[in-house]
Amino acid sequence: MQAYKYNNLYNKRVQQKASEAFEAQSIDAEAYKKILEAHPSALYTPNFFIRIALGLLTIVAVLFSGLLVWLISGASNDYAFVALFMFLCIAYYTALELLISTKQYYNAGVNNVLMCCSIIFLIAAFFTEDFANNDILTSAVMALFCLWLCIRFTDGFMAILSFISLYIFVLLICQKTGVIGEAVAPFILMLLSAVVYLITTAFSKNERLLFYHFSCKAVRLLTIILFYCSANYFVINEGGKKMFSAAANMPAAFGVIFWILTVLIPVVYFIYGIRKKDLLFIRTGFALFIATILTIRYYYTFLPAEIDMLIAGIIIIVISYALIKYLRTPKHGFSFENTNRNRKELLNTEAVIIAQVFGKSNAKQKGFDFGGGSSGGGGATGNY
Amino acid sequence: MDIFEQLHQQNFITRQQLDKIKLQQQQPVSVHWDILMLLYLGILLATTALGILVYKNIDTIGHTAIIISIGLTCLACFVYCFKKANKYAPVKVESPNILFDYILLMGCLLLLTFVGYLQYQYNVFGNLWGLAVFIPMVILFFCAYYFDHIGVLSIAITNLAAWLGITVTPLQILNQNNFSDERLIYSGILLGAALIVFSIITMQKNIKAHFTFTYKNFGAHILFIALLAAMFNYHNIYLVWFLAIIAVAYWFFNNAVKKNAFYFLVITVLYAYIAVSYVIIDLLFAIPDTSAVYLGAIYFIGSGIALIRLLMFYNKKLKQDASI
Repeated sequence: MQAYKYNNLYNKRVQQKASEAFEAQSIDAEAYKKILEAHPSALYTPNFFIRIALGLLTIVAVLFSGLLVWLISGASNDYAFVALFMFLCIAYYTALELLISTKQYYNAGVNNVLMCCSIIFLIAAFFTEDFANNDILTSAVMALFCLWLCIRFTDGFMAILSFISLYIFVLLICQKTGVIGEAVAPFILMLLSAVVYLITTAFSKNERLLFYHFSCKAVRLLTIILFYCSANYFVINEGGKKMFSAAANMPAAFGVIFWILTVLIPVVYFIYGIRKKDLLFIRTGFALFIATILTIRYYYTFLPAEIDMLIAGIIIIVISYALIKYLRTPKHGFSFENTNRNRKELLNTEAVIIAQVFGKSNAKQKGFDFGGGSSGGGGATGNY
Repeated sequence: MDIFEQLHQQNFITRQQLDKIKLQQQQPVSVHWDILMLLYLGILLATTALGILVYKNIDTIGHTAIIISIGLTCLACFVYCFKKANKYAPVKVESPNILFDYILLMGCLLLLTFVGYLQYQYNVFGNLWGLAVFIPMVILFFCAYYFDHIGVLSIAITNLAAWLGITVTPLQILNQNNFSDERLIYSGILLGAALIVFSIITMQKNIKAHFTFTYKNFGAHILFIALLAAMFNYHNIYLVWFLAIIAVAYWFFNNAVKKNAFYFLVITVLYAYIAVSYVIIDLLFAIPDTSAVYLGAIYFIGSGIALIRLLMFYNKKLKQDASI
């Protein structure tokens, strides 16, 4: 199902792990070289800045090829536009498949932009005309399409988009099922987030799904945020007023439950994160704790904002200063030591250089002769 | 199974190395950046709150008291820095502790506020507005070199540009400048060129050589944007400006390839692309019928793909040279 060969993905992973180990000085240059030589990867990922430029240039090429196709087709009414957008969506997806099968682009900027463009034109096709239940259908199709893109190209961003679409889909279903659906919507959405969290956590432990661990991690972060949002008093109160009918006004008993959850969830995340030494939960817990304070302040104001800010600021300064002092020597599995600084800069460049010389697959060495005008280069427009 | 265990079984790494890796993985979690972020957040909240408090109570506190307290805090910061600082040297000097960098930065920012406040409230420099920017600028450049602080250097360069009447903060560079102002365009070109020349001198004379990137980065963006503004503005002779941009781009491009600088390679190609596209579109406007639109679309598709290939080619070339 993957667009990339298993060996390429696996070897890339090994290379990354080995370079981390080398930078941490766990293995010597000799072992690092041997590992890289034995694990060549043909995946093409250029330098960071080059990737950004490639992405921008791909946007230019995509926009103007869309314009050109529109001019040639002469589409003028809504149905013609739907057809045009569907055509462009398929065209860019095909271009993506062709480019990856011939050139093995992996996070190269070009493939990321083509993936997003394919999705954008699919959404545009759905929203050009007002069909019945349009948004439910769109979110369902989006969830499936993004999931497919995630599976096929092992892409974390697509995994996130897929989960967001699924979340919106369930929310819209709840909205359509009348008063009961609206009343239990927060609980159903919390359940959804929890289930997806459990599934992705299970996936993260499965070695066979090694290449999706990053996608799982990205979705997990989103599930714990959306779990909180589904139970946040402000979101339910204000969102409910906007989305749901007046009949579904929140009962007072529910209000208490949501207040408790709003306060409790960030604290639980934070404590869980500290116990499990999981920075994901610690950071999210802290950020959501701020959201909780803002939620409380929105409904109950005790002091003027600047006094609150001053008090909060001083408390935070004192706490962080105390933590710096406290964690000078590592305690309870946490330390204030900057691990990045320990990596010697010279060693870092050496790692890059070794990675350049070794670790390349020989078959792809001659692939990128400039200006040859091979079929792959014309991919963005090749199939119209 | 873990990747490293597999590598061990295949005899790529020894038992000791595997143990070392395992030990690494069990090391305490570093919360260095988390706590520093927390500290910034606290400082930001407290100072913003103080600012609002002062602003709301200005009638009872009075300007003089505020100016004096800002001045004293600023002075305290600089006294601390002079006491703690390591001795000046033309090479990179490490700062004595974590706090030092932030106190220096605070002192420099307060200095700007102090001088600005003096001029705004008491008109100390009279109509010599330039002087109110020039004096802090000189102090900032001195601090950047004496204490070896790139952040302060960036503020100093921003002030140098402000002295010439240009806004160069990244977010405001495009929307806060009046690019049809002739004086602004020329001072932009001069400033950009001067910064680039200075970056070369810094490198060659080896005086704080790690400042080179900051000078060159500011210089490149200011010069390219000023030249592009000149080209859009003086339409009659735009080909002259176009040639100037291409000449500058050519120099930057060669320099980037020689130095293996991906960043400068990319920005040079993109700025030159804007200039070339402007000329092409201008030529297409000369065609009276709608075929110009088709040709324009084809140009952008073709040029986009061609540049992608070009960048990929140089990506490969630069990476290979990095291995020598």
